[in-house]
Amino acid sequence: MMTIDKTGLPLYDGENNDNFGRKPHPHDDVATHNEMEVQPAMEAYVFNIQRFSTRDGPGIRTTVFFQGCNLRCAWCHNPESIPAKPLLQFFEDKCISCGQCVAACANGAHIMVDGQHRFDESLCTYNVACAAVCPQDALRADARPYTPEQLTDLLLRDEGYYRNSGGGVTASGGEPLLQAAFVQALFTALKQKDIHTALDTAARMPWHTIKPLLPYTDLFLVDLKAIDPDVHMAYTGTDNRLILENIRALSQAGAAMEIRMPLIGGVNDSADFARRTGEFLSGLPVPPAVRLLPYHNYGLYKAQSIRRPMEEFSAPLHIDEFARLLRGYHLIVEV
Amino acid sequence: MPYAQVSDKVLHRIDEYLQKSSQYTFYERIELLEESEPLFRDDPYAIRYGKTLAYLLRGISTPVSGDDLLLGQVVERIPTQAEWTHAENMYRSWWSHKSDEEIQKDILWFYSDGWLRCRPPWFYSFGHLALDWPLFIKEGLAGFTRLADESRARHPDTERQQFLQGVALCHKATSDYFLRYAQAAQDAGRTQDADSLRHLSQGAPRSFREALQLLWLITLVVQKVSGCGVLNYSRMDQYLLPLYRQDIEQGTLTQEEARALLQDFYLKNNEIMANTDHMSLDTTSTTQTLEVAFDDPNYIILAGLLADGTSGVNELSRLMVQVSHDLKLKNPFVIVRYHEGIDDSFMRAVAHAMRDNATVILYNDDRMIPALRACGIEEPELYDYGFFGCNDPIIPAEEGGLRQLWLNLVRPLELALNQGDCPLAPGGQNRNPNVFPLRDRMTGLMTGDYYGTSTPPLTEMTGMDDVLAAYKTQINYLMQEYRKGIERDMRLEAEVNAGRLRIEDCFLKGTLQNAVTWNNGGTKYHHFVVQGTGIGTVADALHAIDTLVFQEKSLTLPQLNQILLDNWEGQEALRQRVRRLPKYGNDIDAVDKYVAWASDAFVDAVSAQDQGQYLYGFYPTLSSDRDFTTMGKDVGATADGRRQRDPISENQSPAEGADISGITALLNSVSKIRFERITGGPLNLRLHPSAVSGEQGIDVLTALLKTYMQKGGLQVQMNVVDHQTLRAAQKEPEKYRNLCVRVTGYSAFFTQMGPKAQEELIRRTEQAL
Repeated sequence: MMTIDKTGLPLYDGENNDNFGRKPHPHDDVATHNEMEVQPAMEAYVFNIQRFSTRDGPGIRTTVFFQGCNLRCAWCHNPESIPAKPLLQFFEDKCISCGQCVAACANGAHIMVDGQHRFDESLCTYNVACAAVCPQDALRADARPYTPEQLTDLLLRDEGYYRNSGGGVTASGGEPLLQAAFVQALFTALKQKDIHTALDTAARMPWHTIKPLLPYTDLFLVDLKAIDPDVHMAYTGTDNRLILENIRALSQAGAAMEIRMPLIGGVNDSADFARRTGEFLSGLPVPPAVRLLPYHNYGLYKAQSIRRPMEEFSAPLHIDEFARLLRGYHLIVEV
Repeated sequence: MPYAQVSDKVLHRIDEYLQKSSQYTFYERIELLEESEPLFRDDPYAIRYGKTLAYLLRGISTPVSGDDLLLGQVVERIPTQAEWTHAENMYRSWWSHKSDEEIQKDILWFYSDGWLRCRPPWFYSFGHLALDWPLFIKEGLAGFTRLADESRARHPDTERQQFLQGVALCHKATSDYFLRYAQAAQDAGRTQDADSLRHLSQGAPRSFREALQLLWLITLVVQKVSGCGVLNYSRMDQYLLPLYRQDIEQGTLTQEEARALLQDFYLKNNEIMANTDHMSLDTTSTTQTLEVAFDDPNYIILAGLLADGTSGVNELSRLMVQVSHDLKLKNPFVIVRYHEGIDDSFMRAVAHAMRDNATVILYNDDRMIPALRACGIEEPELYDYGFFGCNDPIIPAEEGGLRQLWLNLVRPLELALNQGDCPLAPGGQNRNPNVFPLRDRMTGLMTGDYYGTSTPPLTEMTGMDDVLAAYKTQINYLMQEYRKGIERDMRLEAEVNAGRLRIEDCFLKGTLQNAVTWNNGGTKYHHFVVQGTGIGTVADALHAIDTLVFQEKSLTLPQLNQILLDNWEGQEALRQRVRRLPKYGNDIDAVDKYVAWASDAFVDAVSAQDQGQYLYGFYPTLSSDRDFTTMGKDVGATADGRRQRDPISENQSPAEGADISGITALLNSVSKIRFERITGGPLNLRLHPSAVSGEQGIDVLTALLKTYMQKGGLQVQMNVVDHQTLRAAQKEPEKYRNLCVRVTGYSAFFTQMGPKAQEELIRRTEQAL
């Protein structure tokens, strides 16, 4: 089946770099996306750090969203996380064409044409000077590089909240396993402080990348976009066999795991899919709990801001039925 | 919004209340007051006061409604237009022709014109205090009569004899009112209630039900009839506990009956409030009301440490939190005192009530107790501390009513940058020598132009330490000038106010024993609450100065100050950059260190003026109430990017919209303030409902609150409501009548708030997950 890239972003194929049409820049680190050679340079782009996160694992957590993803889900709710290097977000509806970014940009990526602000992405080096002066917050460049030490220091500021609530830290993305060595360093430091760790991953990575994390990860939150390989390929641009194998391997390894399924109306929410998912999960050595996440369209606005407009989908019509069918396989299901 | 465990009857009562017009007026009282005005003119003040109260209590109706468990109502109706005009004219005749100096001689301290409006010079009280409730429970009204009788022999001088005579008249009038109510109960066939009321006209309550009955009729006498509102009921879960346990053990009371009685007590407290928000001055229901104490919330203190160091949490604490949770009314305002080691299941119940928007807030004993101790409060009464009004601390029964000063913390900063001159009204050499003018002292607000003392020119400031030193000099000077001013006022008060009895003097500790009004020294303690305002703005501005001038060195201090004097004119790019510098509220130490520093500078300045032989001490709090907009109006542009006359930051909070890193980051920032030196002030949180939904949400909130308290936070009050709901309530108020929100130190039904207050609430940062 043909790869359909619904996000407009070229799909990582394991070999090519992904500069997304920009001119290669000295800071572009093409190795970041190479699954086979996890790069040792310990810095990772984090596009958001969400404190008091209460839905990504137990208790009060801080969720770290890593930049870069190796899936291209057509309904992605964090499309700005997909490229390995962050893209400047430009919310055109907020722009008042004041021209302050024009003066701030050394590369000429912002220009004024007939009093209207225009942004030329090909000239942008993501040096964030424009976002710092934009009075409207129409330009945003939130992603920042961190070392594991910097990130650990920041995360430990909420240690008391984690302890009192049974919470901790969740690594999410994007795909955090694209920087597995970084995550391992981070989780190792957190486990030294006895902080609960969770990894939110789509698990489309070789098992040898995942396995070293087992001793440092208290909970795996594994996204399963679709049980059907063709649908998975059609809407995420990738095959799901590796994902299913990894879920089985995690279960076999005795890892605590929750399966998270985005449900998209008319795409992956059929009764047939529910049954096949139920059969697969209930057949695992330790059947995991499942959380169903109904589609929402928050990603559309952000997709537009990075100039990669996305198609709007609809919420699933029968999410309760989907849950009921899964529960028929003796699975614990939360909606 | 669903109510938990509430009968249809109670629901109906709440609906009725929410639909009641704010024009309902206790008009009998106004008529009786008018009749009484000429009758006792020739009597000394205290005796006239007592006779006036007796006249009112003899004349008002004593309605008995079939449904209420506790008796005690006043008759309210909507006055005719002619009556309305008549009453307003009478009110105007009391005050409107008087100069501030004349008002001062009559009343000394009055907060605002709205406070004076319905109160005549010969019969006023402003409330804001706690009566000696435990004595009511222990000995009943007779206990107070006994104290006054004993005192009479000790104080033969005329002035004190007159004071005690006035007190006796008030005690007798109150007792007679109970007897009149007993008769009304008898007439309505409620024999048992009649028996109780006859007994309570003198004696101590014999049951939990009688205790609540006594508290309630006293509330009517002091608050509705005498205008002494904003009562702190103090630690009800402690002083009612013996009767509660006795009744439960004897089988004369079930927990469900107690819950119903408490619901009735809470409902009654709510029902005596007008349907308006007293701080929304853009609503006519607030500015035109004829009612005295029309919207005065009352405060209940629960849990907390006992003087022996053990926890005060008991079954009644739980029940009283539950009743707040049941009803979700704006009144009474329940303050739960946290302490390290507090029972986990109780904290969860408190968090649950707070999550569901009950009027329950949290204070931290582990910070309040050291802070009050530093203000000279002694044990054991230290452990009974509570609050009234907008987060103003009080030792129940040991001190009188509210006196306060909002100290605008942004002012010393602009004075420090201008050698003591006022940027919005540069006075040069001809500065106003009267730093704290009379009216500002009387109302406790710093408005208009303020001038400081001489500090070095900016060209001589070579580091942040020089800026901070100048700030300290200026804030110390302001507090010193304030002390000078109020000491002049105090001398006047001693001269003109002696023997000016108020209703609360009849029911406090010390006033009866000493036969002296509280304001002239009758009680053990006397305080002005000094409310530091705008601390977030100060912290951000100091950090911006540090960054621009001393770290980056991109501007000199005189250049930066000129930009501020020019109100950022032509400097929009710089202003935007400054607005994006780190801000207080995001757990960034480089800026948070300034909030801690400014708070200490404030407390140091306050306590420097609290040394020595003054009758009145100071309680330093970080609290703006809703006056942060007013207080910003006289302040020039600040280095945090704020333009001149814009609002300053509210209460303990960061500047509006500055906290963008999540709620734990916000709490971490705030907890860097050394609250063991601060005796009150609110932190308003607004949480998105999705962040704390479900059972798991309650656990999360419990942990959040507990951790914040352990980190040294002082207070938390919250609204769990999203932006969309508040907007919808603005569009269709009739559907959201019961949407009750915490404003600052009080609650209001959102749809009754004025547009300005509604906007302020909506603009508070919404902390989502």
